[in-house]
Amino acid sequence: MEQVKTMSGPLAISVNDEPKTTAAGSLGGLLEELGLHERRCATMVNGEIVRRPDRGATALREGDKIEIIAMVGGG
Amino acid sequence: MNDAPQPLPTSPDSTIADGPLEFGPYSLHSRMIVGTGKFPDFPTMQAAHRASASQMVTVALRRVDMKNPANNILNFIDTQRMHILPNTAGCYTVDDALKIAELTLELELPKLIKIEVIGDERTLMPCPIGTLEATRRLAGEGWTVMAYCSDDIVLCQRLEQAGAAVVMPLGSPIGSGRGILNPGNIRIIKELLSVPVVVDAGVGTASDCALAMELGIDGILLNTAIAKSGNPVAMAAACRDATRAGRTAFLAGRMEKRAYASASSPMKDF
Repeated sequence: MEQVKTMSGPLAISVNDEPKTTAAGSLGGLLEELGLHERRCATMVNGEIVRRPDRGATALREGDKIEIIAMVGGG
Repeated sequence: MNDAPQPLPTSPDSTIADGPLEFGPYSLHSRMIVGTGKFPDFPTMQAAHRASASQMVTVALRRVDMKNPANNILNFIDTQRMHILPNTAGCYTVDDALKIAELTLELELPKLIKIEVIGDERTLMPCPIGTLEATRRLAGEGWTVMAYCSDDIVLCQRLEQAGAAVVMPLGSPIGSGRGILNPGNIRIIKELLSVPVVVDAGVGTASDCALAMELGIDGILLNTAIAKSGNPVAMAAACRDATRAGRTAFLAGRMEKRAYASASSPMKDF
């Protein structure tokens, strides 16, 4: 799917509950910005899972709450 | 004439043949499942996993630490030798557990999951009602569910009826290291269930593994005993050996306990 590009400036969002400003227009772009695009992870936007193939086409909006989840030690 | 003492003949292999631990599509030759929490560092964790000879390791799902995003535990898990078992640690509700299951699929893992729905924050005791409901829901959707629960006999039966592939009664509270507090219940649970019984939580050291396996259970899951040992790699090896020893002793069949003595040599003619 093609990357969504926005015409607006940087967006204020949160990633894993931490405030962040991003120049990325899409969730896929955000992961690249964070250096996580190659990492095995799951993504959620505002509480909804966004599957890997859909990340490039998922546009980010001001105030979006992004969660990036991976396997960690524990349990 | 040669009077030099002759070496004793090598005794034949005295181990008993044992099959694998089987559930769902899985067939494990090691009856020990290990964990990934509380280790001093990832290289130690990996070395301990190797020493354990375990074929399954449990992981939690959490948000990536944005301060250290490159620190990836998967770089330290030998996925050629170990299956990854995702768990729902940290979940207090059925919905949370189901969400973790959805996320598990996003992480390209198969439909295998250990259900942990916690009922009390301080003791980390599992919530029987949430565990049963989450087990029923996910088993109904084709998941291989391993259900972590208390050592309540009826609950264990209900979990099997709800579709759990493995029932996992605790030995004692998570991380408490108090061993198998209720061996009587664990033995009964094993007798009454058809699915494998794997004791999970509370193992503190190697002897706990041996004692648990001598009860006849199918496997054991331990993490803190290894991770918080003074020497995790050595303890992992000790627990590996103890798990095997307990299993072999169970299969061999123990002698009966007696109230009084039973002399080993004749009491007359001396």
